[in-house]
Amino acid sequence: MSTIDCATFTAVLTELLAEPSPDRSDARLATLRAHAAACPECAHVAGLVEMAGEPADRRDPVDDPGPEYWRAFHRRLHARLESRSKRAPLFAAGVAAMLAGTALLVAILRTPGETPPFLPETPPDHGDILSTDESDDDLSGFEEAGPIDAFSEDDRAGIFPTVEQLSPDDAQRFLEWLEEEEARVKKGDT
Amino acid sequence: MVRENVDDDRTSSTTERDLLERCRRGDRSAFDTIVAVHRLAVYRVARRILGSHEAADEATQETFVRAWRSLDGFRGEARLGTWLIRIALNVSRTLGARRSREAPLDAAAPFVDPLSSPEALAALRESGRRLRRAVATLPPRQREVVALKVFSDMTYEDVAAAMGLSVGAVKAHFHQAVANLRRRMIGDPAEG
Repeated sequence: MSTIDCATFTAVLTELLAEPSPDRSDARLATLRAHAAACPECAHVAGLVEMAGEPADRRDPVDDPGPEYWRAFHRRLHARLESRSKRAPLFAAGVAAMLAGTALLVAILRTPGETPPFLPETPPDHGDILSTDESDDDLSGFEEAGPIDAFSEDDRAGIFPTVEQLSPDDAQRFLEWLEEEEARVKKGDT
Repeated sequence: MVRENVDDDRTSSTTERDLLERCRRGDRSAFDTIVAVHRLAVYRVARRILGSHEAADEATQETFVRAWRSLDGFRGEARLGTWLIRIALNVSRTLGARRSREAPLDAAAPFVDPLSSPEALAALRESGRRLRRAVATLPPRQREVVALKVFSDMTYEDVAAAMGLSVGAVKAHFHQAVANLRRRMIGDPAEG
């Protein structure tokens, strides 16, 4: 009969697997073997107990791919490092050019007394947005927008594509979604 | 016997420092020596995590390319081997995510143990096969801890440094991993 339970078995097995050079005569191995022989569940991992008794590098070694592989490996590595070192000066030159361009643009924009041709002479005055002056609330300068339900078929959302602009797949998905939505609204499921 | 130790005995810390110094001056042959010492450990970790030789090859290449690029940033707080394993883990994670599939660990990896009896060898081979299947289903962190702790003689401290975790967290992952392996192997009985 086993002297340990399954939880202890797992804990001790963990300890042994964590040891790189276990002693094959370690008493814990015998205890684990005895438990694995008596417990139907832990019997499935009896092989793991034997594996835990082996040195780490012999438990399930991944083979060395061999000298030929490593020679090819070094050649490829050299080629990669070489191409990297060739690309590095080009990259540095690109970064330097970009920084120089940015610095030039900043210098132009900050030149006092002269406004660059692509900027308006005088920036529009929007006033103080935090002002509590009631005259700011005068909306008389705005055009009448009309009633809110006055949309017509010619109205375009602008930023959204029309159904004709969608890809066939997206259009199909959109129509399916629309049908589902309509069905949901008809059922009163909001 | 080829040890899977990431801090290979062949490289003393003095030699290592000297090699690093030469690498920083652009000496490619010094870097070749570092690669030659650590390539197998890096390859094995990548292969255990990624499963196939092709993926491990790609990860090993990328590991050493990144190492060369980052040598200036290596200050020697960790051992060189641990630092390389850390890079290999990061590379393997990225590569594994990119491949976005659970690659089965290579079932073709043979056991080499001439000292064992044929029966013991067969039993170990069967255990190894089932273990690889079970390890492949573990969550990534647990898989990494098993790859570093069960199959190499890294200490908990080395594994923690390589994974960027505390020793306590590594132990917790490892205990959880073994418990999960036990459960998965119960559900995967040996073929007979």
